[in-house]
Amino acid sequence: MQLANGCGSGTLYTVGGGSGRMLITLAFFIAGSVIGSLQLPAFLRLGGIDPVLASNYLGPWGGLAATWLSLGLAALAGVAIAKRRAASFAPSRRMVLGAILIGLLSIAVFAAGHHPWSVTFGFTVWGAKIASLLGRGFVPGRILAMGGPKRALGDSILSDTSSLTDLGMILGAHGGDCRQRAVRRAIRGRR
Amino acid sequence: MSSVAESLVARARARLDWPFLIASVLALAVLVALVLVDGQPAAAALLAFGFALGAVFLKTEFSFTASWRRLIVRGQADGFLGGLLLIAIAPRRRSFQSRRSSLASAGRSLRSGRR
Repeated sequence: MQLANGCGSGTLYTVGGGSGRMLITLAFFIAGSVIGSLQLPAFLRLGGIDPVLASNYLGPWGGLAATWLSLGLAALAGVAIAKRRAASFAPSRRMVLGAILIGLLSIAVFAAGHHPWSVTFGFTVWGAKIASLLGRGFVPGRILAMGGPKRALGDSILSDTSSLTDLGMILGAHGGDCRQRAVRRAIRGRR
Repeated sequence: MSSVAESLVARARARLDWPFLIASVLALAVLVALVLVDGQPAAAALLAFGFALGAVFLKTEFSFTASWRRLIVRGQADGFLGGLLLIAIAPRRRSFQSRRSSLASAGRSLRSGRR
């Protein structure tokens, strides 16, 4: 992700914004998601511990308070690192606005889809459908053979929550780039 | 005129790339129409929310990856704090439940579906 300069959401909005390089990243992201879905059962069999949910011990509001407290501590650590290295730590107004809007939209996605906003499962669905359409004898792994993923694989890509928001993100970034494109065209026109 | 001045002038005079914007909105409208014909208004809402997310991400240049890298490489915590603010705004109890399921047993959410 660091080499590509984008996580799941970053890849989507830079692809939508016209980055040809990120198309390559997206293609391999999709392929990797499918490969990962095939490998997931093996990794799960390695075992692990369940997440410790604060809400299980403190109730929903106590869990929320614990979340905010931990975020506050992380923020203090970030500020301390920045001060130690004489670097900036105050988010710009645009960044604060972005954080607020994205946070609210993720709540909206949860309300509409009854599932937290996610990005990479959409890639898994896209990749599995492409593999199936190519007719290369693609056998969905155990994950894709389960209820929701199986339905997503069998139905249209417009039937999966992540796929829908991913498509929307690409189009939204595409539209959102309209002014920057005009600026770039104006600059090229003056040279 | 210097390239910086040219850029400023171009930025001041540039309007929206309307064909580009119209194409994006039309594509969204087509997808929304398809899911509405299928009787899935929630899917239409998800497309719209996704559209908004994409626009916001691009306009605000919000990047989890770059924020983390700036913190590690240069000690700049602005993007990191922005990410924490985002998480603080949208904590959900159910997200804890579905994350627990996905880690423990390959996903209650995966088994139950996402619609």
